[in-house]
Parts: sequence; C-alpha cells; structure tokens
Amino acid sequence: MKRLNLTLAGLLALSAQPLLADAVQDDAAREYLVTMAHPNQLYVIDPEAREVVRTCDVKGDFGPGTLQLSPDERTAYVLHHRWEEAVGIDLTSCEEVFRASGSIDSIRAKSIASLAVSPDGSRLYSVWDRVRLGLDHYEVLEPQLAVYDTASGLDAEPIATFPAPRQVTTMAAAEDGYLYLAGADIYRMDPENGDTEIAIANRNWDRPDFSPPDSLAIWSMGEVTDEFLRPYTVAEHPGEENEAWHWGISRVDLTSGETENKEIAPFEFIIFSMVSDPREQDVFYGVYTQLSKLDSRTREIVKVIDLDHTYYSINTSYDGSRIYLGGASSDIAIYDDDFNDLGRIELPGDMSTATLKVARF
Amino acid sequence: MTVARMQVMHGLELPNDARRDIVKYLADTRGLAPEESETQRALIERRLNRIESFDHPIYQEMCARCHTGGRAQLQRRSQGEWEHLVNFHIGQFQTTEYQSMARDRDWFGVALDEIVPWLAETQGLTSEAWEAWQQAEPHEPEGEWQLWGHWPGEGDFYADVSVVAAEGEDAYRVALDGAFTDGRRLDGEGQAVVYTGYEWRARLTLNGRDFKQVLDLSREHPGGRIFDDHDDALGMQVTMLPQEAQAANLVASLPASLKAGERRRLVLLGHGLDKGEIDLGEHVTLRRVVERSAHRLVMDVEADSLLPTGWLPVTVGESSADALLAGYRQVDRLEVSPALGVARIGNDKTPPVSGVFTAAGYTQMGDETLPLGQVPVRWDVAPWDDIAERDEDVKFAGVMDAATGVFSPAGAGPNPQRQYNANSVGNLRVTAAVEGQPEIQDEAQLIVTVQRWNNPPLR
Repeated sequence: MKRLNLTLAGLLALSAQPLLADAVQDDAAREYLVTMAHPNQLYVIDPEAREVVRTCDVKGDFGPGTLQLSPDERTAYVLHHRWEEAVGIDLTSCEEVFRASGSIDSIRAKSIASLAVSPDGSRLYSVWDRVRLGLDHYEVLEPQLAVYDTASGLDAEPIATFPAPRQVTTMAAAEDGYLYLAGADIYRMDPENGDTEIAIANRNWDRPDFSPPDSLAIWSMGEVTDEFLRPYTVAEHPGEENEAWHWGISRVDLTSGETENKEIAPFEFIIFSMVSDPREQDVFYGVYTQLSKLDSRTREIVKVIDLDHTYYSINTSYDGSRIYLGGASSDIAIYDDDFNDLGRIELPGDMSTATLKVARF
Repeated sequence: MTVARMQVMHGLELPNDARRDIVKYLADTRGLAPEESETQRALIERRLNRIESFDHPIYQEMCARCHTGGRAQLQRRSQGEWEHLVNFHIGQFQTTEYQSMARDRDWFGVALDEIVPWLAETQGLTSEAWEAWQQAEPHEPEGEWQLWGHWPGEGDFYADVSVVAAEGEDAYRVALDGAFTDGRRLDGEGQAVVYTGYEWRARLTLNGRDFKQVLDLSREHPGGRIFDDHDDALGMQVTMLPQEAQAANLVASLPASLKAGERRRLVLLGHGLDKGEIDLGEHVTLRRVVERSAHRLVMDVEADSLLPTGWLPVTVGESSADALLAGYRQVDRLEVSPALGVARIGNDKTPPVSGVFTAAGYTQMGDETLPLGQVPVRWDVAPWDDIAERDEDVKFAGVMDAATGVFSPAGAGPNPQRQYNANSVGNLRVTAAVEGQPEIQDEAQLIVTVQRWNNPPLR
C-alpha cells in the first residue's frame, strides 16, 4: 500500500461519505458489502462502520438477487424481477446502467442464478431457461447462453446466443475468456462460438467408489479469491459397511484456468455456500445454520460454531481477517477468522437467496 | 384445479356460477368412473398421513416428491397431453429440475422418456370403465338416509339425513338431525352437488361449525368423509344408508364393543329394527330403550361382570348379527394411528394443521384377535429423540389434548426463544394408554413442521 499522509488516512477512516474514496488513489479503496434484499433494494454497506451507505431501489420484484461485479467493482449486475431480468446498477450513484430481459414475445425466460461478467467488463453473460407460452400449452425450449454488451443500456438485447446445457446455475468468466457453468458437470464454454466441454466431471465422473455428488449452488461468490467454487456432498463406498460422507469442492482458478475436484472434510452438517480463505486456498469457510472452517490438507473440520439463525451466503474480506454472512434473513453477520462475533448489520428486508458480494472502490 | 389455475396463474376472469357450471360440465362429460377414482378416495377425501406406493420404479421421486402421486392418477390424458403436462411443470415451476431428486438426473428428459409413456399407457384418455359408466344410471340421492361416524374429540354420532332437490342441476339441500352416543344433539344443514353421477360434494354446518363433505354414492353404502376445509386433519369417515330397505338387517353398532361390567348407550343401525324382541345375549341387560325406529335402535345397556370375551349375539326381531358387537374384559393390544403423523404450525393466513390420532383396541380370544374399535385412552407427548429433548420440542411445538388425541400446533414463524430462531416445530412421541390399564400402550411419531404454502384441493 502506498503511504498516505496521516491526516488523509484519518479523514478517510472517519469519513461520513466513504464513497469519497474514489477521489484518492486506487490503493485507498475501501471495502464494501453489496447485496439485495426484499422488496427490491440493492445495498452498499460499510462493514467497518457497520452501516448502510447507499440504498438503491431497483425497479421490479425481488429474485433471486444473484450478484456479479464489474472488474472495477463499481457496477453490480443483479438477476432480478422474478428471475427474469439482469440489471446493472452503478454502486457509486445508484444509477441504473443496464437492463436486459431474457423474455421475448411469447418466450418467457428465467435464470437460476446464472450471471457472469467478462474480465474486461464489456460483456455480461446469462443462461436463460426458456419456455414458449402457447395459448393452451407450454413448450420447454433449450436453455440459451445470452451474451450482452454491457454498454447496451436499459433495453439491452443479446449480441449473441448459444445453446446451453439444462440445469445450469452459477457461472463465472475466467481471465482467458472462457465461461464456466455449474450444471450436471462444470462446463467450460467459449462465448465466442458456444463450444462447450466438460471442465470438471461431476454427475458424469468416473469414480467407482463414490456416489454422484450432490450440489445446491446458487450463490456466486469467488471474487475475493478469483475462483469459481462449487461445494458438493458425496458418499464414498455408498451402501457398504465403510460408507463415508464428505464435503467436496469443484474449483476453477479463474486466473490460470486450472481445475480441481476433491473431498475436503467429513459431511457432518449442511453448508449452503462456501468460499476459500484468500490467504490459504485449502482452507474453506462454509455457512448455513453453522459457520465452519474446513481444511482440505488434513481433511478436517477445524472449527464450527452454531449461529443465531440460518445464513445462506458467505464471503470474506480481501485480507481474510473477516467473514461476512448474509442471505436468508435480514441481518448480515460479521465474524473474525477465529469466529469471534464482530456484530450485525440490519437491513429492512430479507436477503433470501441474494448473493453477498465484497466490492472495493 | 385446471380452471382455478387459469384464474390464478393466467388471469382468467370467471364469475363463480359460471365456474361451477364449467366444472360440472367437465366432470359429467369428461370425468372418472367410480372404479377409476376408487384407488384415490383417500386423496379426494383429503385424508392425510398416508404413504403411497406405485407400480413404477421412479414415479415417486420424479413426481410424488412435490405432490401426491395420486393427483396424476386421477387424470386421464393422451400421450401428447401428458407431454404438455411435463412441459408445464418446467415452464411454470422452473426450479423443479434443480431440486433434490431432480438435479441428480436429466429430470426433463427422464420425465418425457420414462414417465410420460407409462402414464399414457396406464392412464390414457379413453377407458372402458368410463364408456360403461356413461351408460349407467346415475345414483339418485334424494330421500331419507341415516349417517354415522366418529367425530375426533367429540365421539361417535348418528343422524337422519334428509336430501331434497334444490335449484340447479344435480343440486340438493341437506338436513341432518342426530346425536352423539353420549346423548348430545347433533344438528346440521347444507347444500350438495353431485358430479359425474356419483361424486357428492357438500358444504355442511354441523352444530354451528362449517365442514365439507365428499361421498361416493356409487357404493351400496355410500361413504366418504366430512372434514374441516381449513384443517383437513379434522375429519370423520362416514357411512350413509337409505332409511328404507326391502329386508331387515343389522349394519352397524356404535360403539363396536362392550366391556364387562360397563353400563352405556348402545346404538344399532340397520333396517326393520322397530319390531320384535331385542336380545343381546345372557350377559347384556337392556335397561332402557331410548329411541326405536325401523332404521335405528338407541338403548341403555349393561354388561355384567361375567361378560365373556367374543362376539356377542345380537338379535332384533328377525335380524341377527354374530360379528357386529364384541364383548371384552380387558384390552390386550392398542394400535395408534397414524403411526407417523404430520401436523403443521400456522397462523391466520395459513391455518394450522392439527395432529389427529385414534387408538383402536384389540383383545385376544384364543388365537383370534378381536377388534374392539376405539377404546378410551389417555394421550401424552414426549420428545421423540435426544435432539427433540435438547430443543424442548414438547414445550414449543403445541399441545396434545390428553382426552381426545387431538394435537393443536403452535403459532408459525421464527421463535426468538428457540435456538437458531427456529420455528416451533417438533419431533414428538405420541403415547396412548388405555384408561384403567395404563400398561397397555401404543405410540406414534408426530412431526410438527412448517406450513404448506400451496394448498390446492388435491395435494
């Protein structure tokens, strides 16, 4: 970090207008939490001050609140309006800068948490599950990857579409331009031509001693560690005397494109979402009704605590010292990396399935 | 439900009387024959706590994980229409293919390739049964009937039922005049419509409380269920019998058993009961005839202390029955049902679903087990396991009425008094113990869970 003069640093720390930070060097960027909550608000939150610094009304109904950030982290893209629209919001002004609906004419489209932004910020991607609404029957259509130019404004149309596999949820764009889609397997797709291959086999893996993995992945974190991570549960030796259940992860390093798939700890409680520790990629934090720390090097549950209620979405600060919990209910919980409770931030509405993102600007 | 879906999901505006006419027309012209609905009477009558089974390896995990499998069993479609239904599921409920037991497979493909052909084969659009039923004479409900059953928490009851034609096609007015076997009055009235020539649907008010009634009129003794539309668990299986018949007979006894040394009200139901001698065997003394008509005999009787275990000979005039009324000295075995019950917490918008348990007694007579019907018991709940004990489920989940076996669930919503702010859910052990024989017990499991948000008539 570049040296700031003490007066300026002090002013920034105490500033009642933290977004003034953009007036100084990038290195002085502050860390914010970004999430959606009912009925239709996007919140920018200062986790240090534990206060909401900006509330952006986003036209339309809530859902699912899947969030992705632009590379400069000043724009948040959110799946919104009953899973049918992708909306871009400038986090420094609440201005709506992008909006696209997957639905066209008699085709209704919904996206189950599929949203990604290209590394240069010029493209937004979503997979739309589509159905043609006839007068007396529905016709399910092939899902479609839609590619948008993020400069297309508020009535954006895709600049390209490609067939996509069914049952895709979260997705991410890698540094090399490939898209990763979490479906039956983790797919790698070239958004230039739609070519799709299996990057990590899950449902179709060839592991005779293991059951197929099960994964409910609708939370798109990973921006802090620049990775695409999907946790799963799996039985080793299913149905046999030595049956053992594990948590595992499928992971793509979005910088290098490297993939891995491995079991990391015993399956003893439910985890809805998981992130790795930015300081040690083989340490994982998971959340549901417990907050847990799992170490894949020893394949142990290092620490687990009961929470006051269920949280769905987990993230960490960029320095790894703080853990943020959101989703489900209306409060964001903050813990340190030893699971000491650092407090709560109350929002007026429930976050439900929304992602809890960490942005710096 | 299809018409309701058009209204709720697609904005169809339809006056209520037009909706009734449309449903009636469709039921009468495109309905199910009695034998086609026979296997799903429990679903139609909204009996809860049933475990289904079907002759298909994955039908339950593909379809009946969200709703009863019976719901589709009550439909008949061509293959193309079954395919439309699968398309509708993904199109309307997008998360269907992402849920557990769907995200482990290509749900849409499996539904089209494995479920649709089976449904098209076993439940195609046309059937011989329906062709035959359309030629059959519809069952005429007008007239004088008597009806009986057991009202949970209130007891056995009987009533004269008068059905007269009302304005409208196959519409009727109903009046009930009856009593519980403990002597309390039971009065009621209502309106009914008969669909498809045998499906009786009525709104009844019984002793001031609103109920719905479903009967299958095609049976020799029309039967079905009266239930609380806001709490399906609270209901009673009923049987209805014409008051007049060619031949005298004995059809039912309320209660189904007498205990040695007991003095109580006994009600015999049948035909031709107004004439002749009443003989209940040497160990049962008739103390008083309370009411006697051709179709009903209400008496106060006393069983002496030497009453043997076994079927009691019952004779009224020309009619006799040798397996209608059981005598017993003690209960040897108790059977609580359901063995696994589900109750739901609730509030004004989504009313709670009660846990309703009954206890049937049995006594042993040599190798033969004699059913005694419902016997007097005391009810209690306890934690089902260590987790339920730790979480104090008994304290939070609701209240069991010790006398009736009716469990009233707690209010819905996060409970700040509980760990994790959990709802007032619970996992309970329901125990019934025979009155006077506390060592004779049976137990059941009661899961008290959260509300159902989507509550169509056929779940």
